[in-house]
Amino acid sequence: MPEGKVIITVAPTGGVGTKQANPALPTQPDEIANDVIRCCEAGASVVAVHARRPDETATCDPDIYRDINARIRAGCDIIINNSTGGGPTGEMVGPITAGGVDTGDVEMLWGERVKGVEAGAEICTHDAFCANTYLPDGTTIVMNASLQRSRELAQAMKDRGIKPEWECFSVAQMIDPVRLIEEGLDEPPYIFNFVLGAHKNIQGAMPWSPKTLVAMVEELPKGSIFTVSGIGPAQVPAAMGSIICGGHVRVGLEDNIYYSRGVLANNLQLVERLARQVRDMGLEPATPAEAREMLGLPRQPAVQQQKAS
Amino acid sequence: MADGKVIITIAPTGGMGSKEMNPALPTQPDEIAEDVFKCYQAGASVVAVHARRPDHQATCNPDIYRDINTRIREKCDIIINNSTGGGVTGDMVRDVGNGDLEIMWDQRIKGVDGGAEVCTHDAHTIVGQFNGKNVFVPTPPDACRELASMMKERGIKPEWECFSLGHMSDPLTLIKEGYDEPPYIFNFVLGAHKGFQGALPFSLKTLQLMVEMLPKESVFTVSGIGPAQVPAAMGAILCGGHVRVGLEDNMYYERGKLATNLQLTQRLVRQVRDMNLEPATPSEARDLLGLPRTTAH
Repeated sequence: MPEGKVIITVAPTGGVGTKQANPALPTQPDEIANDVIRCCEAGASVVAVHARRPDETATCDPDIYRDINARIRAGCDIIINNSTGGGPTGEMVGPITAGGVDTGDVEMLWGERVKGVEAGAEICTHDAFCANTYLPDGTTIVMNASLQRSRELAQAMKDRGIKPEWECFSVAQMIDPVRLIEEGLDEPPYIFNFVLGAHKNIQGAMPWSPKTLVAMVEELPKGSIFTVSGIGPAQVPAAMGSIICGGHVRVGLEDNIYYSRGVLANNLQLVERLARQVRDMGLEPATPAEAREMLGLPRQPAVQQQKAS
Repeated sequence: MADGKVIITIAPTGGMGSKEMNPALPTQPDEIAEDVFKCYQAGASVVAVHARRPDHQATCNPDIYRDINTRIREKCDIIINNSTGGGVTGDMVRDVGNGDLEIMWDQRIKGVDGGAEVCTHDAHTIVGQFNGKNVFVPTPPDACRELASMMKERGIKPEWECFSLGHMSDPLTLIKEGYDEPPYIFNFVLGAHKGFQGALPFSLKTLQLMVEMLPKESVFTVSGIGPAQVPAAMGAILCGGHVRVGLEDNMYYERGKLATNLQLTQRLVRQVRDMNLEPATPSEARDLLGLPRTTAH
C-alpha cells in the first residue's frame, strides 16, 4: 500500500450500459463531466472515460472524447483516461467479411478503436488480447487485437506521450503486455488494470476470487502499479481484495450498476462508499496530484475549479 | 459468504495486554461484561473471553470464568468462548529455571470448566517472546487429545486456533480421529509473528492457502494482529469467512490512536455492511457454528 494512498478510478459510463438499465448512467459530455467532477470531490483521482454518440451508441470519435475531456478538465484536475475499447454498438462494430462475403460474425473495428488515442488523454486503455464478447441479445462480437495491432497501438501511445493502461481479464492476457513492455513500448511504472468477474460477457475472463487476484499480482513485471475492476457483484469484494494486495481500485457504473442487490447506484454513491471503505482500512484516497506521481505521469498544473458562485 | 451473514467475534481482553498499554482494556468481570454487552448491541455475536485475576494477571480459574460468563449471559445471548490458552502472566506460568517461562498445561485445561459453549484449542507447541523472556507453550499430541476429549465430554465445541499452516496439522488429525463433529470451527491468527515463532504474517495468499487446507464443512474466522486486524478482517470476508476484532488482538484504532472494543466492533460492522453483508445475530451464529440453540447454563 504505497504511502497509504489508494487511487480511486471512477468509470462512469462504459461502452455497454444504457440509461434503460440505469437512468443515472451519464452518456453525454455534460452529464459525464458533471458526474466526474462530483466523484473527484468525493475522492476519485482518475476517470476512465468512454464516449457515446448523441444517440448513446458507443464511439471512439476523438471530437466527442475531446469535448468530454475539456468539460472534465474545466471542472477538476482528475487524471483522464480514454478507452480504446469503445463499446459493442454504433460505429465501433462491423461485419466480418471474407472475400467480400459477410460471414455473419461481427467485430469491434480496429480502425475505430485506435482513434481513442487522438483526444489528448493522459492515459489510454490498451486491451492487448483477442476475445469474444457476448451481448445480452446473443450476438457474439470478436475483439481482435493481434500482437502486431497491439504493438502498433502501444507505439501510437508512446509517440503521443500517452501512458498505456494494460487491461487484463485473465492471467493469459498479461502475456502480450509483458512482451510489449520488454520490447520497450512502455516505461515503469507499468499500469495494469485487472478486470475480474466479466466472465458472463467475455470469453476467457476470470471470475473474481482472492486466489486469481493473487496469481495475477504475482505475474506483474517489477515496477508495476495495478488497479482492479470488479464487475457487477464482484465490485466491492474485488476492491477490498485489491487494497489488501497493495493495489488500487476502480468503481463506477461501467462495471456495476447496483449499489446493493436490486438497488441501482449512481457513480457518486459508489465512489463515496469506496472512499469510506478506504478510510476504514486506515488509508486515504490519493489526490490527482498524488496519483500522477504514483502513476509516473507528468504533473500537470491543477486546473482551477470553476466554482458556481 | 454463508447466507450473507458474517459472525463478528469480539476478543475484548486477551492474556497479554494491560491497562498500562490501553486504559480501555477490560480485565475484571464487570468491566468485561459491560464491554461485551455494548459490542453485542453493535453487532458482535461471539465473545472470546480471557480471564484475569483481581491483580489483572492471567488465569484460567473456572470460578473467574464462571463469574464473567454469568455476568455476560445476564445481559445478552452472545455465544461465549473461553480460552484454554490463558496468558503469559499470573496463574498460567512458571519459571523453568533460567528466567524463561512455561505456560502450564494443568492451568490451561481448567478453561473448559467455566461453562462456555466454545473453548479455544491451540493444538500446537509454540514459543513466544514477551518482555525479553521466552514463553514456552508445549502442547504435544497427547495433550491435544486430552483437551479435545475433555471438551467432547462436556459438550463444548473446540475452536481450533492456527497461527500458521503447520498448526492445522494436529487439528486435522484429531478431527479424523473423531474428536470433533462438523461444522469444524477454525480461527486463523495472522500477523502474530512478532510475538510467536513460526506465526505467519497476514497476506491474502497465506489466508487463501489456509482456507484451502480446511476440511470440508469448516467455518473459519480470522484474527489479524495489530495493524493486520483490518486487512485480515476484509480478507476473511472475501474468502467466505468470519471475523474477530478486539483489544486482545489490536490496541489501536489507527496508527497512534488507542481503540476501545466498541469502536473496533462498530467499524467492522460498518465495513461488513459496506460489503453488502450483515452481521450475524447470536442465534444465526449458533446455526452457522453448529451450536445448540438453547443457550448454555
